[in-house]
Amino acid sequence: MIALIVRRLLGLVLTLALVSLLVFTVMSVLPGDPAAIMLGTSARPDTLAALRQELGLDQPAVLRYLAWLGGMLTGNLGTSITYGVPVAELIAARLLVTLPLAVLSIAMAMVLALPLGIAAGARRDKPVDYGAMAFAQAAMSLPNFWIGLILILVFSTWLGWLPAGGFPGWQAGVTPAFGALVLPALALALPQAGVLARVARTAVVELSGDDFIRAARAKGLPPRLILWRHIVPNTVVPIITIIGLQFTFLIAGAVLVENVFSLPGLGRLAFQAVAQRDIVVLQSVVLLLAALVIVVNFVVDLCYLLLDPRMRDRR
Amino acid sequence: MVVWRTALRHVKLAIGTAIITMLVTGACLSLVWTPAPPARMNILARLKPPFASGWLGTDQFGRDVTSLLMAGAWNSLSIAVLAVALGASAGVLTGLAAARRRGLAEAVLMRVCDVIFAFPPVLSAMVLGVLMGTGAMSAILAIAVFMVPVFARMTRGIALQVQSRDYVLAARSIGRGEGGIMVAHVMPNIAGQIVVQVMIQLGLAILTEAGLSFLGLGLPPPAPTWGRMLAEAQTYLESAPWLALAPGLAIAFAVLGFSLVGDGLRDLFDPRDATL
Repeated sequence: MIALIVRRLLGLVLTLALVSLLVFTVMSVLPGDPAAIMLGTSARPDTLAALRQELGLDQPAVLRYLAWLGGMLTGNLGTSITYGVPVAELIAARLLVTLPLAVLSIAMAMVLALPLGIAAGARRDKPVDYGAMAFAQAAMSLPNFWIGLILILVFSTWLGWLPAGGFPGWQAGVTPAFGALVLPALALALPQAGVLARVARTAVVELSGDDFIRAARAKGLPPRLILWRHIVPNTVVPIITIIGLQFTFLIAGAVLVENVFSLPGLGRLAFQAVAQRDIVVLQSVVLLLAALVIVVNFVVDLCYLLLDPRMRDRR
Repeated sequence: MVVWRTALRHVKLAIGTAIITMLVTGACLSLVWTPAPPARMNILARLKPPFASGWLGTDQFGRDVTSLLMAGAWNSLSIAVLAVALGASAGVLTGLAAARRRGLAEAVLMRVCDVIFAFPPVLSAMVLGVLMGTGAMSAILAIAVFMVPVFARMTRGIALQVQSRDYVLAARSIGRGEGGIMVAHVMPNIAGQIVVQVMIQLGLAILTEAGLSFLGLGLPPPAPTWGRMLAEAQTYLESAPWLALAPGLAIAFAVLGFSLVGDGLRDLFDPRDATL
């Protein structure tokens, strides 16, 4: 078990190294002169030279890569030219918005999807099943940023219950900060809920035909007990698999939804960095978001090992 | 019960096909005819509600929303189709190569696929946008790259299965070349699933393209896109909420159409794991 985890960890480190190499090559080596991109064509030669100096462009790419990686590990990512503050500080502040947003939306998606999916699977081919799956299909087709617009229209403009955007910051108190995240999280959660409900239903349907369930039925156990004691706990593995796989879409969705709601999160930071051609910020944020996806999937993989002993022997 | 499920499968396929047909017709029609020229501005008739001017009203410049929607359908569809064509061919070739070579080459290719998976199109479109400028090219590339692993994994999986079958062994033993085996035996087995996956990915590509152009990372103005129509509608959400309705529903229907056809075809090809 320990050996297995160590092997997985090595794989994780390898993947992360590959990702960082890719990001660095694409953003700092391929463009030739990142300083020229950041300042545009009308930049004065002495400003350009100063920025090149500051970015360390006079040094070989390998050294710059290692320095950047070292900075990633020690929290020194350079200074943003547009904000004039250390990139690490910027990122830390934005993480406090994006991470709660992601967690809240996953929680909302599960609360919406699991009862629907389980009910649909348990009552296969009944109206509940058709209704739930029609809802799932519709939710999966809706663009999350459009859901965001509609939620703003209904809950902010018409009903005035929740703010239409912006973020008061956690220092303003948990309730206002939380309130600012509810609509964006819901916009992110709905399409995810559609996917999750379908997976939960399939898991329930497939498990219902398994031998141990047929044995339980033959033994005369009441259907309700079979469902909750034997089927539902076994749907956990496919469900966390999908949550892991969907995480990359959640990150992509966060970029969009943060822009709809003007939330100062990582996605909006990246988007603003694009508009300002701030490669220093963009490079680190892109790596961080990609690394987040990989680490979440690694954790999901570890969860299998803990939850399902059969997986330990399999690989 | 089984009868119902069989019928439902065809209903899904039929509804999906109907939606896609409507979409493609509207998109192609927009090339020769729209109710009004989509780019024509008319400040006097700005922000008119539906039916007051045209079927769906006018936007902040007095442009006819129905015409914008039709022209937007062409733009969305062509970007989605190009991206999927690019991503699917690169993915299938990668998958076939991995299944054929095995060993280190396979391990490297598959690891690269894992890495690509961590870069959703929005991220790569932002990076490409800074490096080569935002526009159709970087949008298509960003969407296509993300699809390569999907097709590569699928193709590799099926190709590995097929390669171990007796009929492939037989073909090899009578001296058939590897290329011939790929074309004659492996490809036909993959074709069905590729078609299904292409449909599903077309829906996702439309969704992604809409997101990219919502952020201004897609086709540049004045070309109308559903995503930018929504971005502009956000400014007038209070005074003209209908502007946000039509493009959103158009995106949702397009995505729904492709995913229904994808699901329907999958159930048709492989009834064993038919989902609802």
